[in-house]
Amino acid sequence: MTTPLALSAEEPQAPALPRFAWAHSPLLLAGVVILGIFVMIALLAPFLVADPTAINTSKRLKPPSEMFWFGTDHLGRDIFARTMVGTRNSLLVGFGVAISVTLLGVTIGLYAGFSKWGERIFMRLMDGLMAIPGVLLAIALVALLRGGLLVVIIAITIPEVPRMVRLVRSVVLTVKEQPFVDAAISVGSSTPKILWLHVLPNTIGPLSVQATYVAVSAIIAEAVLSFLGVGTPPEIPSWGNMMAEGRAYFQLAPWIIGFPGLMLSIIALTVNLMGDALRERLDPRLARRSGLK
Amino acid sequence: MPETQPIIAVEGVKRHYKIGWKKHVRAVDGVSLEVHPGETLALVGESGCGKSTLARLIMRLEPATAGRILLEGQDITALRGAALQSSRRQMQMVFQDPYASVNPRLTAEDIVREPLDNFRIGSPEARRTMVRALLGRVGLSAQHATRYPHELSGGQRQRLGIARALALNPKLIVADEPVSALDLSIQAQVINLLRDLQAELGLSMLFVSHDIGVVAHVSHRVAVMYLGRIVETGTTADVVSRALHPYTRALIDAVPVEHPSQRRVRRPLEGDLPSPLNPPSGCRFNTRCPHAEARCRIEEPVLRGVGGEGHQVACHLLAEDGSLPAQKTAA
Repeated sequence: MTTPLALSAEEPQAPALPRFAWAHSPLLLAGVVILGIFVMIALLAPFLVADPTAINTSKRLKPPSEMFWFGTDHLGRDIFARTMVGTRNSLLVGFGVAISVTLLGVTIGLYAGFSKWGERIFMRLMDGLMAIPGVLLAIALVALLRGGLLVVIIAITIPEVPRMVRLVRSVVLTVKEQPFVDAAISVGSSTPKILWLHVLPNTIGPLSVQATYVAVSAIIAEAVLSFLGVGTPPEIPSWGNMMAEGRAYFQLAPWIIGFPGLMLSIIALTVNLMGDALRERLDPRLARRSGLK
Repeated sequence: MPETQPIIAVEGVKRHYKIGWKKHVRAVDGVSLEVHPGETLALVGESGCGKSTLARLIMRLEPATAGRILLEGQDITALRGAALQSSRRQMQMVFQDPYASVNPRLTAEDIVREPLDNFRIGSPEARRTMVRALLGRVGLSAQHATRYPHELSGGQRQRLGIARALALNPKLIVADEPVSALDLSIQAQVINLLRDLQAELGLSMLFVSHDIGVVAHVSHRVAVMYLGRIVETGTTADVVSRALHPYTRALIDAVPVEHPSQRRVRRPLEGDLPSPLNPPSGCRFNTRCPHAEARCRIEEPVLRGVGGEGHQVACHLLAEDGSLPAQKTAA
């Protein structure tokens, strides 16, 4: 699901991210614009499009037309309206999981990188979590906690945390060997201050890249869970449950499954490209190879 | 040196790194030295001899395996918490690599201000003025205060590191190869800065270097280290002009001279530094010493006085008049 990536700690002489970093990278700029459009859709769709839950049995399985841009499903519901409204769900899950995974990952990763006992306990715990397939764990968690958007976010977050913890810990281990950390110890800085002022800011690069991949994989995982019927409750339109419902009519009305699938692909591609562009910008060695400044 | 209490006294300090089952790297293996008020002691030796480790031990950046470190008579080897923090105020370090020793995400002002904030020296506004004064003292101007390290040159960054070290008004500065990462032209500027500051502020300084030529320029006394031990120590004049230990002589022979006509007969050292994992028995230098005899491979020499002002050498073969037995020709 996630592109495997081998990240190294950012070299200390790496330029700080300029305020308008994306202006130098067309890829990043395009990503920001497309993602911005998705955010606008997510925010405004419920006020602009037709009722996504209105059932109209006289207009079942209609192909795309002027009236229904994306066609209708087996209950005559407007696919365009459902797809647009479903954006909100996907983005909420994507951002929600990315933020909670980052927060948890940073907290545990910092602790594990700086404390021997933290490392022993938490890293073994993470190894244990990693041994269980993510979707399986998520299904079990949803079954245990019952449906709802929040539960879906929690269920996808937990299996994603170990990878973030490992990344943060490995970056922390490299950064804490840097002479400027020794210098901070010498001038009498406390450990929390060193973590906050010297270690954390220097992990932002690899961390933000990993966060974008987590967001993509969460959006896909939400669709997978909904497709399997354990994700978003059916009364809320989501790309996953739309595709699950459209599966039975795939040969008759491919648009039911096609349009949410297309949206899913576009957003996954966009966020992935943004992640790559960020990585190139933040890793000085990659930047040099690709000729970027 | 007059009989005053030394700023820092190192007594039989060892630092062994465990790297496996019953395997230890003996980076520092029983070193004693003293730095007196207002004095610069240079610690010289080649890469891997343990001089940087010793500097880190003194700074309490690493725990000593054995021995004691006394800061103005107080044993700091076992200090923890608040007591350790307050002792840190007395000694500050200038690091080797000016590119890695400052956080790339802080401005020059933040970097110099950090120690002042830690010990709550003056009001927050007063600290700002103090930072400007410190930057001025090391030859940086107020306009550098808002710059990030990547906007400064290597020499400017090292000045920044020196300003940070001076911020707490320490009694001792430990400079760990402060110029080895700089261009030759900048080296002289930074060394002169350190020397001026030392004289002006009456600082004590431990100056770690691999370059005995640089050392002659800044230090009052010199200690030569080889494989975790001190082999020769004395005043700079004694050690540089009347080097007695065969290793010190080799180091001095390696310094380039100004004119080709003055070229010395070169007796380069052969072989590499033996592994500190398994140092040679007896005198540690015996594997590379051109004079070594059977005794050198069995018995470990101790530092002994050879006249001069506290001039001490650890060598069996040295005669009273400072001469060594004839050099053996390579077989």
